Amino acid sequence: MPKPNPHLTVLSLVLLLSAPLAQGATPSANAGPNPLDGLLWHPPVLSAAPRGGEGHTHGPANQTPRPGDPASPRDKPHTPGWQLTLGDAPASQARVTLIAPDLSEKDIPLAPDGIRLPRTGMDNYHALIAHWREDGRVLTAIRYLSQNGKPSGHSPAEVIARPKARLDIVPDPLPREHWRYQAERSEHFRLLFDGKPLADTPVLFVTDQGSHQTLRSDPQGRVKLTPPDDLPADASRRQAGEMRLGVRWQTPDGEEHITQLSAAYYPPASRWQSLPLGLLALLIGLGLGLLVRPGLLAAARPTRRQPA
Amino acid sequence: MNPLKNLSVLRKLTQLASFVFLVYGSIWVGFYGADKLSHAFPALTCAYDAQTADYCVLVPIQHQMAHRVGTAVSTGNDVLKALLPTALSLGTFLLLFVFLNKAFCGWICPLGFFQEITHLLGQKLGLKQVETLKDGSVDRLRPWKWVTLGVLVFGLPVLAGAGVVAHDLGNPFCDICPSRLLTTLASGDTSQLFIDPTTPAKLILSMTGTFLFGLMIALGLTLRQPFCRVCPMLGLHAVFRKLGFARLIKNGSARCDKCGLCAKACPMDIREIHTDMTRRDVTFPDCTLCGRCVEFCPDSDVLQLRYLGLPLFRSSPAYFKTRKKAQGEWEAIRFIPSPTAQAAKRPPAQEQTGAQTQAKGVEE
Repeated sequence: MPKPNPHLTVLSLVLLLSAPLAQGATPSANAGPNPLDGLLWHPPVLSAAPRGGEGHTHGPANQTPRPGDPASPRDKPHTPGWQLTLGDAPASQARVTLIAPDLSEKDIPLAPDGIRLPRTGMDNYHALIAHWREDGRVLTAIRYLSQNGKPSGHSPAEVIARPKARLDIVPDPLPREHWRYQAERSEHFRLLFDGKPLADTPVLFVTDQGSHQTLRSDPQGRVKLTPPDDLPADASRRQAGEMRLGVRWQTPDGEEHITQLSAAYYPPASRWQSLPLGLLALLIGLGLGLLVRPGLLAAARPTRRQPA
Repeated sequence: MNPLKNLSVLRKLTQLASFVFLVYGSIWVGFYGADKLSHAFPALTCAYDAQTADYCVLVPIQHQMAHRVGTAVSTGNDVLKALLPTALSLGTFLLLFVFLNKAFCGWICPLGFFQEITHLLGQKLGLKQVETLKDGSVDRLRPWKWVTLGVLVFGLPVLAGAGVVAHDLGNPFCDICPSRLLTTLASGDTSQLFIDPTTPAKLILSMTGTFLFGLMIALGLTLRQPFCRVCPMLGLHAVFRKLGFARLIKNGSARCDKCGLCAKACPMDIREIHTDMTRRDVTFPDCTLCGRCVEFCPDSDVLQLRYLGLPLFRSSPAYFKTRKKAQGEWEAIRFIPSPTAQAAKRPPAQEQTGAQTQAKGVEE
C-alpha cells in the first residue's frame, strides 16, 4: 500500500461503461419492467476503493479488505488512503467539483491517469460532484466526504442543502460527524428536482455485495432506506461496503436526468453488541441496588430526637 | 406556599427545561456536531445522544488525552503542544462555568435531575429513605470523584493513547457514564444498552456501564444523588469553583451550633456547611449550589446564594416556616401509604419538639 500523500487525495476517473454497478446484482426476477434497470448498467457513480491495489480498473474494485487488517484504508473512509473512482464518465466531458463546508467551490481538473483532490484546510463534510451529459442525458454522481483541517465554522447542513444538480438526492441527514451509515439502521433521503420534492418516485439501492432494492419516495419526497447486513460474516466493525442510491427523472420536454449518491456503510452493531445481555446487566444492577438497601440504610446517620 | 416562590420548585422547573433542551436540543441548535453549543458543556450532556444540544467537556478531554497527549508521549513529540486542544476545551468550559459555577450540577445536569426524580419516586413509593449518610461513609465516598476524574478522564485515555493499555480504554468514562444510557434511552434510542464481548476491555466497560446505570436507579430510590458523589464532573467543578460568579455564603451565628438543618437538607451530605464556622465562602467541593441548605436555614441571612457578591436568595425565618410546612404537605402525598406517611400526617405540634425534629420535612 503506497503511503498516502498527506496533502493530496488521488481521485481517479475510470470508465465503467462495460461493468455492472454492483457485481452480482441482478434485477428482481419478479419485478417486471423496472424503470431503474438502466441504472444498474450505466452507473454515474463516485465509488470508493482502497488506493493503490484496485484503482484504474474497470468495474468496481473488490472493496472489502481482508478481515482484521488494521491498516486497511477502509478504516478511515474519505481520507487520503481512499481512492474515488467515477464510473461511466468520459474524462473529456465530465466536470468534477468539490464543495467545501463554506460552500466555496473548486473544479477538479481531469487527467487520463486521475486527478488530485485538493485539501481545503477545512474540517468536516465536503461534497464531491461529477456532472456530464451523454446521449441527451444529464448524469450526476454525488459523494459526501470528510477532510481534516481547521474548524470551518459552518454546519454540514449548509453543504448538504446546497443544490448539487437539478435532480438531487439529499441525505436527511448525513450521519453526524464520527458516525456512519450502518447496516440494519434506517436512514432517510429526500429526492428533489429543481428543489421540489419528487413524490412516489422509484429509487434504486444497490450494494457492492450484490444486494439491491427498489424503494419509493413518499409524498414529501422522502425515502427510507435500511441497508441490509450483507457484508462478509467475518468483516470487522471497521470494514465497509459501498452502497448507492440512484434515481432517474424525465422532464416534460424529454430531458432525462440520472443521479446517484454513493457512500460507505458498515456492519451492524448487533454483530458484536448484545441488547439482551445489556438488559440483563441493567437488571442485575437494579437487583443488587435493592439488595444492598438494608446496608445503605444502616449507613445512614440515626435520627436524633431531642426531648421536648 | 406559592410554588413559584419555592426555590426547590423553581429549581425543578429549571432542571426540567434544561433536561428537555440538552437531551432533545438538536431540534433547536441543529443535528450535526458543528452545530452544538460549545463541545465543552459543564454538565453531563451526552455526545452519544443523537438529539443532544451539546457535548459534555469530558468527551473532548478524553479524546484529547488519548489521541493527542498519549500519542505525543509514545512518539516523543511535544506534550505541551499536544495539550493545547485540551487548554482550548477547558477554556471553553471555563467561559461557561464561571456564569453558574457548580449550579451546573444542581440546576442544569440531566443526570442530576434524573436522580432527584428517582429519589422522589422512592419517597412517593413509601420506601424508607437515607436522610443523611454517616460521616464515615461520606468521607469514604468523597475521594472517588477525584479517582474517576484522574483515572477515567485523564489517566487511562493517556495510557491508551500511548499504547500502554488497550486502545479500547480511550474513553472509559463515557463507556460507563450513566448519562450516556439515560440520554439515549430518553431520546428513544436503545443502541447504547448493550454488552460488547469482543475484547476484555469492551466487555468490562460495557458491563460496568449498564450495571452502574441499574445500580444508580436502585440506590437513587433510597439515597439522594448516588452517582453525583463519584461524578468526575463534580471533581472538575471543584477545581475551578473559586472562579465562579455564584457562591454559597455563610454568616455563622451562635445558634448554628444547635441546629444543623442545613447539613441535613444537603443532598450531598456536606456536614461542613453546619460545622464550619470560620469560612464565609462555603461552596465546598461537593456542593452543587442547589440552595436547599439556604431554604432550610431558619435564621435570617445566615446562609445566602450570592451572584457576583449580590445576594440572590437568603435564609429567613418566614421562608423557612412556609417552606417547611409545604414540604410536610408534599411528603404526605404517597402512591403507597406507609408508616412514614402516617407520621407525616401528625399534627404539626407533635413535630415541633426541638431543632432536630424541626428537620422533619427537610428530607425529600
